[in-house]
Amino acid sequence: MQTAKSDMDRLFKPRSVAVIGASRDPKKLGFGILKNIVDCGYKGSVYPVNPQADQILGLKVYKSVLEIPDEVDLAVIVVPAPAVLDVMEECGKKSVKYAVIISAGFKEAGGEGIERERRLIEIAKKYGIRVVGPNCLGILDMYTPLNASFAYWSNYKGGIAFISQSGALLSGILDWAGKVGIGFSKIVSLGNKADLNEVDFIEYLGEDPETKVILLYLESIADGRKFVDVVSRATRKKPVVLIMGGITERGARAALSHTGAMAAGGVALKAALRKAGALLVETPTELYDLAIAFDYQPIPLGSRVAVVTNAGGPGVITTDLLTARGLAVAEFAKETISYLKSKLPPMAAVYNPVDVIGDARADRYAVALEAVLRDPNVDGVIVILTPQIVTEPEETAKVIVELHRKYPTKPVLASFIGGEKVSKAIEILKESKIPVYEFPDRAVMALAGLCRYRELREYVLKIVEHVELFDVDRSRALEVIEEAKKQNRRVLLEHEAKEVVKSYGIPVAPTKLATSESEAVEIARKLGYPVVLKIASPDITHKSDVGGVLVNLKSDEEVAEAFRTIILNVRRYAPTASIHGVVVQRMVPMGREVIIGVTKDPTFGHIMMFGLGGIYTELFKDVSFRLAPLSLYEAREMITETKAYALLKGFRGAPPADINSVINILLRTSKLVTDISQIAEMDINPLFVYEEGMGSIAVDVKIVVE
Amino acid sequence: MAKTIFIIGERGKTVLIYGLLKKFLSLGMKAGYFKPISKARYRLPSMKYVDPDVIAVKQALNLEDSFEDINPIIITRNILDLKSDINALRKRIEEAYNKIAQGRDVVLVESYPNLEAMTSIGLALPQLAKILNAKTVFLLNAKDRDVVDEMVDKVILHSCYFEHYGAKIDGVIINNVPVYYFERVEDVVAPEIEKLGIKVYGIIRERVRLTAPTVSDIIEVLDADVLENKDKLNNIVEDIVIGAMAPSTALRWFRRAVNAAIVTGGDRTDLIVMALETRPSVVVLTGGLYPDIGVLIKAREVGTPLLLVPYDTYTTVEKLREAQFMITPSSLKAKESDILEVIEKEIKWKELIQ
Repeated sequence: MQTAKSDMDRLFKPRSVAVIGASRDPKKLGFGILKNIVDCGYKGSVYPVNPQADQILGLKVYKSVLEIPDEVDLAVIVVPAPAVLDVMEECGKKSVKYAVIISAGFKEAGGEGIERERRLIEIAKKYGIRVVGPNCLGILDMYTPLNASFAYWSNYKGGIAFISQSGALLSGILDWAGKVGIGFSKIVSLGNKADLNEVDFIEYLGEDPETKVILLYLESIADGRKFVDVVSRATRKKPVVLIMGGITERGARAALSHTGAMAAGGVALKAALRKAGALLVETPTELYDLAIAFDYQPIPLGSRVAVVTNAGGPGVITTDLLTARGLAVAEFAKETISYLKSKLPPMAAVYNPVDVIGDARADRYAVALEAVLRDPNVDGVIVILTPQIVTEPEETAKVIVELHRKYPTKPVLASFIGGEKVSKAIEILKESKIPVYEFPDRAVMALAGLCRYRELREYVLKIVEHVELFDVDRSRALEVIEEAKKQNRRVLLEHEAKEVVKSYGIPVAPTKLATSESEAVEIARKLGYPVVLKIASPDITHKSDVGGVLVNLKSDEEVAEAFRTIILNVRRYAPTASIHGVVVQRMVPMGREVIIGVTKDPTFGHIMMFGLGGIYTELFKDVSFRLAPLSLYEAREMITETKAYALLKGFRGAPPADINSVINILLRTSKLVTDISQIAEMDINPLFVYEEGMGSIAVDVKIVVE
Repeated sequence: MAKTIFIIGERGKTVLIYGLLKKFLSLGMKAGYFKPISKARYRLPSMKYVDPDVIAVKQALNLEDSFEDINPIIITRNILDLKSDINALRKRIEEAYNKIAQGRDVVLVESYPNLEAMTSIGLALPQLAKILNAKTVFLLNAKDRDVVDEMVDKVILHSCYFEHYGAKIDGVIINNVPVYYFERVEDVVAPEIEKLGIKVYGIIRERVRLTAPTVSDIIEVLDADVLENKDKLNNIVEDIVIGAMAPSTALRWFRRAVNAAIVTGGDRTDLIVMALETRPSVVVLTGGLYPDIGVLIKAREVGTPLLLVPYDTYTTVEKLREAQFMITPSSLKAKESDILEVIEKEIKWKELIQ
């Protein structure tokens, strides 16, 4: 269901809030939530609802939401699970627009909870109520202001929106945020995601002027395709930073045991996030460091970083870290160098990193910092300070603040290494929105995040261009697939799979099925010698291992003999395999071997794979992944990012291979699985690629349907 | 007088007979089933020994005749001792047969599995054929041999055997012919058999499975607990897949199976959820390990029955394999249309009852 921006405003900026299940008992959630709403400074009307009370916290209590004289935009529901359904009916009749259901005891509890949640959504749909949760912490909007949750309020306004699938994580963060000075715009605890989920919120926050960066903690993704879609659109406006719980196999098991939904992980997730343009971080520390950087600082126009430090050691380490993180160590312009040489003491280092040395006061920092900020070869700056006897941390902080104001287009991040001596300086920096970190590695990491976002923002636009392919025969492909399904098979035989890809314009080595010796010979004659015979069995994946492949057969006798041999071999080494016959294929000349594969991921859809083929494939695993449908840019990038590309380009005098034909086949494969989504797996292995201009041929194709 | 067809031979007799009976019944004929001598494989709580195949056919077709009439003699251990009673036995068989044949147009008789059975006591198959005045049809399995021509040798041997007792083999049905033998069987082997004066009543192509147990059959065999979806127990189980690998490879593996029973440990939450994604017929959790709540939620969502057994995976799979060859009323009915298609297309059933 589409939620227009103005609609969600009713959730975050409601004119009136009803707390259903409000309680007089200070130990109960129903009291805490009401108090939160009252204490946070909410300016709209608050209506506690509880059949057994008259007044709570000085507010009149109503027996039911239906008794409230005014309209109610938002209902926060805290009653026990069994009572929620009736309450929802009442809210429906009252035309409440949004319900935040704190109560637990729904799908997460299993058993009757599953049924209860189903009915909850039925009621919500009936009346058009949008639901957050159930089983959630609540929502917060720092600007309204509104704290409709049972977390502690910390009134730090900022540009960071946080959507979390873990409620407990949120409360910890909020308390900590006050301590470190992180400002939020909106906070959402998703709970069971029975109705509104991350896709809805990302869409809204992407357009929200109060939000500068969107943070996500997710353990599962409700609709992979939509997720990629809304994130890639939001990314054009602001960064989306994601930390996923359950990425590793063991972690996934942990996540699964409490959500019951499959955690998206591994290769599919990375491919999907790349297409979406989302920044995936691995630790909560990174999540917040990045968030602060995005909230406070501009996105740099490039990745060339200058480091200004009063301590050599940290300067060197930082330089190493820059390279490790994929950033460039800026090469200063001649003017900058000569300027610095003239203004700084002779022992100072003027090539990047700029070491103003241990006795630097604020003035020397000012000189160095201004010089690098003015340098056209510098896109961003990291300022490091360690407190020596003559150092002026607070003055230096002020200098940084002023210079950043003067040159606002280049991000400045600081690392003041110390404790008590630098604490006041740190406050000054925080106040003026200069991100400051205890150690330089975090500053590097945050700056790298800023640069990465710039790349992603450009990337999502590059991959918009799709190539239209019209010369495909979808009905023929479907015909072949239906025939196999009629025979109660999900695995297509080789000749069937080849027929399917052929109908999508992918060149294949001619192949036909023979069910007897004489038929095999007939086919071989028609196709032309030499031929290859391979066992046709949906149960055998590695045909050569069971003696099911015989190559280079040059005569009728060889073909007949091969037919018999293959049947005998397979009967012996794979006695339970069901045999449909033997396929006869015309032998094609050797080319450079590559693999093209597709797997349908349950969350995100079809993931395409390209890689080096041949017998060492399993060993080197030189593969790249992208989420279908493939754009021209992605198809090309998939190839160029592998090591196999070097071989295709032409290595040590070998002529270049027909890379364009590979791109063509990648695009056609992408179209095939997008058109016929019941294809669960596909492998073209090997694809022989010939010299430039000579095309490629699919020598073996496997397809598995759902 | 009811036309009596005596089916002797190798694997597949019961399913063939079921198919023929179903066909004849659908044509409005009064058809009966008789299995004079069977092997006791199952002991009822009432201490009675029964042959489960007989139960299957009787229940699947809703036959009114009593068990004792359909299957008068059940062999438990010794047969030589029966020599002394041989006349009484012959009489029992005749009486039961007459009851079955009464008012019926055709009776299909299933023989004891071993072809040489009971020769030692004077109740050899050819002797039975004479008592029943039946047309004898030999069911041959083409798949069990590397040299398919050997079937002809077998037919000749058994013809001689029957002739020794003054009976004869009237016809042959060649069963389970793999696709790569079909041409030879049709063009060379079958005519060779007909040259012996024995009619070939049908050549049946190999099919993956003509009976498939349902989930309820499996539950009985495994003595399993049903954790979710107690109303979905009619799913048929055609394949067995073991889940013991990393989840990323598991998906590829599970996807290829059709109507499978996926077997994995109850603690492998990740594999179980992956398995449920591929919509199998049933998921069997081994080791008595009760799964995480997330699994139960997912199973309910997807509508796949979830079973829990105390055994380890290996034992469970062994039992499941046995179950695959089990013939039960529901396993016969599950593939009824496929079985009837075989009878219609590949067996000359009209000539059988001429």
